[in-house]
Amino acid sequence: MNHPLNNSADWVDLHSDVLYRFALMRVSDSDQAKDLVQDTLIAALSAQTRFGGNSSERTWLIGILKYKILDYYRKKGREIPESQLAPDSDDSEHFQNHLYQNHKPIRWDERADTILSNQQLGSVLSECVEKLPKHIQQIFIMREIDHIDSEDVCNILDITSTKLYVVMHRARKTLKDCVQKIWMEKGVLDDYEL
Amino acid sequence: MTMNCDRASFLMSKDQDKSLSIMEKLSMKFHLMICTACRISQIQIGRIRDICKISKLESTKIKAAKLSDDFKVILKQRLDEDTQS
Repeated sequence: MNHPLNNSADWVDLHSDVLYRFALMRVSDSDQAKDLVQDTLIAALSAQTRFGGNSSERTWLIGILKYKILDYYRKKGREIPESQLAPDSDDSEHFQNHLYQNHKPIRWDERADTILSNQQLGSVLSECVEKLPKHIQQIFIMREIDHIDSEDVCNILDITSTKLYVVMHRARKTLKDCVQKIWMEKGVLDDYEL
Repeated sequence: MTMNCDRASFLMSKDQDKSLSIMEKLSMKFHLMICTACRISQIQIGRIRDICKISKLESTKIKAAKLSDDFKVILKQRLDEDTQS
Protein backbone atom coordinates (compact mmCIF):
# COMPACT_ATOMS: atom_id res chain seq x y z
CA MET A 1 0.00 0.00 0.00
CA ASN A 2 1.19 3.46 -0.82
CA HIS A 3 1.05 5.98 1.98
CA PRO A 4 1.03 9.61 0.89
CA LEU A 5 2.88 12.19 2.98
CA ASN A 6 1.06 15.00 4.71
CA ASN A 7 2.15 18.55 4.26
CA SER A 8 5.26 19.02 6.37
CA ALA A 9 3.48 21.78 8.30
CA ASP A 10 1.12 19.15 9.66
CA TRP A 11 3.90 16.90 10.94
CA VAL A 12 4.27 18.95 14.08
CA ASP A 13 0.62 18.57 15.04
CA LEU A 14 0.37 14.95 13.99
CA HIS A 15 3.60 13.42 15.20
CA SER A 16 5.83 15.71 17.24
CA ASP A 17 4.60 14.56 20.66
CA VAL A 18 5.08 10.91 19.73
CA LEU A 19 8.57 11.61 18.43
CA TYR A 20 9.33 13.62 21.55
CA ARG A 21 8.30 10.79 23.87
CA PHE A 22 10.27 8.28 21.82
CA ALA A 23 13.38 10.47 22.09
CA LEU A 24 12.84 11.40 25.73
CA MET A 25 12.82 7.79 26.80
CA ARG A 26 16.15 7.23 25.09
CA VAL A 27 18.07 10.38 25.92
CA SER A 28 16.55 11.30 29.31
CA ASP A 29 17.07 14.99 28.75
CA SER A 30 14.15 17.08 27.56
CA ASP A 31 16.22 19.73 25.77
CA GLN A 32 18.17 17.08 23.95
CA ALA A 33 14.95 15.27 23.05
CA LYS A 34 13.52 18.51 21.64
CA ASP A 35 16.63 19.05 19.54
CA LEU A 36 16.33 15.52 18.20
CA VAL A 37 12.69 16.06 17.21
CA GLN A 38 13.63 19.25 15.40
CA ASP A 39 16.61 17.62 13.64
CA THR A 40 14.40 14.71 12.61
CA LEU A 41 11.70 16.89 11.06
CA ILE A 42 14.26 19.01 9.24
CA ALA A 43 16.02 15.91 7.92
CA ALA A 44 12.64 14.49 6.88
CA LEU A 45 11.87 17.66 5.00
CA SER A 46 14.90 17.29 2.78
CA ALA A 47 14.36 13.55 2.40
CA GLN A 48 10.68 13.79 1.43
CA THR A 49 11.31 12.85 -2.16
CA ARG A 50 12.91 9.62 -1.02
CA PHE A 51 9.89 8.57 1.01
CA GLY A 52 8.84 5.32 -0.63
CA GLY A 53 5.37 5.14 0.85
CA ASN A 54 6.01 1.61 2.08
CA SER A 55 5.47 2.58 5.68
CA SER A 56 3.24 5.11 7.37
CA GLU A 57 4.43 8.66 7.71
CA ARG A 58 4.90 8.20 11.45
CA THR A 59 6.93 5.01 11.07
CA TRP A 60 9.10 6.77 8.53
CA LEU A 61 9.69 9.72 10.87
CA ILE A 62 10.51 7.42 13.79
CA GLY A 63 12.98 5.63 11.53
CA ILE A 64 14.77 8.92 10.91
CA LEU A 65 14.65 9.73 14.62
CA LYS A 66 16.28 6.37 15.42
CA TYR A 67 19.26 7.32 13.26
CA LYS A 68 19.47 10.69 14.98
CA ILE A 69 19.42 8.99 18.38
CA LEU A 70 22.20 6.60 17.37
CA ASP A 71 24.28 9.56 16.24
CA TYR A 72 23.64 11.17 19.59
CA TYR A 73 24.72 7.98 21.38
CA ARG A 74 27.90 7.82 19.31
CA LYS A 75 28.86 11.33 20.34
CA LYS A 76 27.70 10.86 23.89
CA GLY A 77 29.31 7.42 24.23
CA ARG A 78 32.72 8.95 23.98
CA GLU A 79 31.81 11.18 26.89
CA ILE A 80 30.76 8.49 29.39
CA PRO A 81 33.47 8.53 32.03
CA GLU A 82 35.18 5.18 32.46
CA SER A 83 34.37 5.28 36.16
CA GLN A 84 30.66 5.19 35.47
CA LEU A 85 30.94 1.92 33.64
CA ALA A 86 33.56 0.18 35.72
CA PRO A 87 32.43 -2.60 38.06
CA ASP A 88 33.71 -0.75 41.10
CA SER A 89 32.02 2.54 40.33
CA ASP A 90 30.43 4.75 42.95
CA ASP A 91 27.02 3.27 42.75
CA SER A 92 28.19 -0.30 43.04
CA GLU A 93 27.57 -0.29 46.76
CA HIS A 94 24.03 0.78 46.11
CA PHE A 95 23.74 -2.03 43.63
CA GLN A 96 25.23 -4.54 46.00
CA ASN A 97 22.72 -3.60 48.63
CA HIS A 98 20.01 -3.90 46.09
CA LEU A 99 21.33 -7.24 45.07
CA TYR A 100 21.36 -9.04 48.32
CA GLN A 101 18.61 -7.54 50.39
CA ASN A 102 16.12 -9.81 48.68
CA HIS A 103 18.25 -12.71 47.81
CA LYS A 104 15.39 -15.06 48.24
CA PRO A 105 13.43 -14.54 45.07
CA ILE A 106 9.68 -14.43 45.00
CA ARG A 107 7.80 -16.15 42.26
CA TRP A 108 6.27 -13.24 40.38
CA ASP A 109 7.61 -14.94 37.31
CA GLU A 110 4.95 -17.60 37.33
CA ARG A 111 1.25 -17.24 37.95
CA ALA A 112 1.18 -14.68 35.17
CA ASP A 113 -2.39 -15.59 34.50
CA THR A 114 -3.56 -15.04 38.03
CA ILE A 115 -1.52 -12.17 39.40
CA LEU A 116 0.78 -10.45 36.98
CA SER A 117 -0.50 -10.00 33.49
CA ASN A 118 2.07 -8.88 30.97
CA GLN A 119 0.42 -5.50 30.94
CA GLN A 120 0.65 -5.10 34.72
CA LEU A 121 4.22 -6.27 34.75
CA GLY A 122 4.97 -3.94 31.84
CA SER A 123 3.77 -0.90 33.73
CA VAL A 124 5.75 -1.81 36.85
CA LEU A 125 8.81 -2.52 34.75
CA SER A 126 8.49 0.87 33.00
CA GLU A 127 8.69 2.65 36.34
CA CYS A 128 11.71 0.53 37.30
CA VAL A 129 13.53 1.24 34.03
CA GLU A 130 12.90 4.94 34.60
CA LYS A 131 14.71 4.69 37.95
CA LEU A 132 17.88 3.07 36.58
CA PRO A 133 20.98 5.27 36.62
CA LYS A 134 21.02 7.04 33.27
CA HIS A 135 24.09 5.41 31.75
CA ILE A 136 22.76 1.97 32.64
CA GLN A 137 19.27 2.80 31.49
CA GLN A 138 20.55 3.88 28.09
CA ILE A 139 22.43 0.64 27.49
CA PHE A 140 19.50 -1.43 28.74
CA ILE A 141 17.11 0.32 26.36
CA MET A 142 19.48 -0.10 23.43
CA ARG A 143 19.74 -3.83 24.08
CA GLU A 144 16.33 -4.88 25.31
CA ILE A 145 13.93 -2.40 23.81
CA ASP A 146 15.61 -1.35 20.59
CA HIS A 147 17.24 -4.78 20.11
CA ILE A 148 20.60 -3.48 18.97
CA ASP A 149 23.25 -6.23 18.80
CA SER A 150 25.69 -6.31 21.71
CA GLU A 151 28.58 -5.76 19.34
CA ASP A 152 26.93 -2.72 17.77
CA VAL A 153 26.14 -1.24 21.18
CA CYS A 154 29.81 -1.57 22.12
CA ASN A 155 30.89 0.09 18.87
CA ILE A 156 28.40 2.91 19.12
CA LEU A 157 29.24 3.71 22.73
CA ASP A 158 32.91 2.80 22.40
CA ILE A 159 32.89 0.44 25.37
CA THR A 160 34.33 -3.05 25.77
CA SER A 161 32.11 -6.12 25.67
CA THR A 162 33.04 -6.92 29.28
CA LYS A 163 31.64 -3.56 30.35
CA LEU A 164 28.48 -4.23 28.44
CA TYR A 165 27.98 -7.56 30.24
CA VAL A 166 28.62 -5.98 33.63
CA VAL A 167 26.21 -3.12 32.99
CA MET A 168 23.50 -5.42 31.62
CA HIS A 169 23.91 -7.75 34.57
CA ARG A 170 23.44 -4.85 36.96
CA ALA A 171 20.47 -3.57 35.01
CA ARG A 172 18.72 -6.94 35.05
CA LYS A 173 19.42 -7.54 38.74
CA THR A 174 18.21 -4.08 39.69
CA LEU A 175 15.07 -4.39 37.60
CA LYS A 176 14.30 -7.79 39.03
CA ASP A 177 14.61 -6.48 42.57
CA CYS A 178 12.70 -3.33 41.73
CA VAL A 179 9.75 -5.24 40.25
CA GLN A 180 9.74 -7.48 43.28
CA LYS A 181 9.84 -4.54 45.67
CA ILE A 182 6.99 -2.67 44.02
CA TRP A 183 4.82 -5.75 44.00
CA MET A 184 5.54 -6.47 47.63
CA GLU A 185 4.69 -2.88 48.53
CA LYS A 186 1.41 -3.33 46.79
CA GLY A 187 0.85 -6.36 48.96
CA VAL A 188 0.06 -8.50 45.98
CA LEU A 189 2.75 -11.03 46.60
CA ASP A 190 2.57 -11.41 50.35
CA ASP A 191 1.16 -14.89 50.18
CA TYR A 192 3.55 -16.15 47.62
CA GLU A 193 6.90 -16.07 49.31
CA LEU A 194 8.85 -19.23 48.87
CA MET B 1 32.67 -26.78 38.86
CA THR B 2 31.17 -25.02 41.83
CA MET B 3 30.41 -21.36 41.54
CA ASN B 4 28.59 -18.86 43.69
CA CYS B 5 25.22 -17.32 42.91
CA ASP B 6 26.71 -14.01 41.91
CA ARG B 7 28.88 -15.57 39.23
CA ALA B 8 25.99 -17.73 38.04
CA SER B 9 23.77 -14.68 37.87
CA PHE B 10 26.38 -12.84 35.81
CA LEU B 11 26.56 -15.74 33.37
CA MET B 12 22.77 -15.97 33.10
CA SER B 13 22.76 -12.33 32.12
CA LYS B 14 25.72 -12.62 29.75
CA ASP B 15 23.98 -15.56 28.10
CA GLN B 16 21.39 -13.08 26.81
CA ASP B 17 23.99 -10.76 25.31
CA LYS B 18 26.45 -13.24 23.82
CA SER B 19 26.76 -17.00 23.46
CA LEU B 20 28.64 -18.46 26.40
CA SER B 21 31.68 -20.68 26.08
CA ILE B 22 31.10 -24.37 26.68
CA MET B 23 32.78 -24.18 30.07
CA GLU B 24 30.68 -21.18 31.07
CA LYS B 25 27.53 -22.89 29.91
CA LEU B 26 28.29 -26.14 31.74
CA SER B 27 29.19 -24.50 35.01
CA MET B 28 26.10 -22.29 34.85
CA LYS B 29 23.86 -25.29 34.13
CA PHE B 30 25.44 -27.23 36.96
CA HIS B 31 24.82 -24.38 39.37
CA LEU B 32 21.23 -24.06 38.22
CA MET B 33 20.69 -27.73 38.89
CA ILE B 34 21.52 -27.30 42.53
CA CYS B 35 20.23 -23.77 43.22
CA THR B 36 16.50 -23.06 43.33
CA ALA B 37 16.94 -19.34 43.92
CA CYS B 38 19.01 -18.95 40.74
CA ARG B 39 16.53 -21.01 38.74
CA ILE B 40 13.80 -18.58 39.71
CA SER B 41 16.06 -15.62 38.94
CA GLN B 42 16.72 -17.04 35.51
CA ILE B 43 13.01 -17.28 34.75
CA GLN B 44 12.51 -13.72 36.00
CA ILE B 45 15.29 -12.37 33.80
CA GLY B 46 13.68 -14.11 30.86
CA ARG B 47 10.32 -12.65 31.78
CA ILE B 48 11.79 -9.14 31.88
CA ARG B 49 13.18 -9.69 28.41
CA ASP B 50 9.82 -10.94 27.11
CA ILE B 51 7.98 -7.97 28.56
CA CYS B 52 10.44 -5.59 26.91
CA LYS B 53 9.67 -7.21 23.58
CA ILE B 54 5.92 -6.84 23.75
CA SER B 55 5.46 -3.67 25.73
CA LYS B 56 6.47 -0.11 24.91
CA LEU B 57 7.65 0.40 28.48
CA GLU B 58 6.80 4.06 28.67
CA SER B 59 6.77 5.20 32.27
CA THR B 60 3.89 7.37 33.46
CA LYS B 61 6.24 10.34 33.29
CA ILE B 62 7.10 9.67 29.66
CA LYS B 63 3.50 8.92 28.74
CA ALA B 64 2.46 12.31 30.03
CA ALA B 65 5.27 14.20 28.30
CA LYS B 66 4.29 16.67 25.63
CA LEU B 67 5.99 19.41 23.70
CA SER B 68 4.85 22.87 24.70
CA ASP B 69 2.70 24.85 22.28
CA ASP B 70 5.41 27.48 22.13
CA PHE B 71 7.95 24.95 21.01
CA LYS B 72 5.57 23.62 18.37
CA VAL B 73 5.13 27.11 16.98
CA ILE B 74 8.90 27.49 16.76
CA LEU B 75 9.17 24.08 15.09
CA LYS B 76 6.58 25.01 12.49
CA GLN B 77 8.34 28.28 11.76
CA ARG B 78 11.62 26.46 11.40
CA LEU B 79 10.13 23.91 8.99
CA ASP B 80 8.48 26.68 7.06
CA GLU B 81 11.78 28.54 6.66
CA ASP B 82 13.46 25.36 5.49
CA THR B 83 10.71 24.66 2.97
CA GLN B 84 11.12 28.09 1.45
CA SER B 85 14.88 28.05 1.26
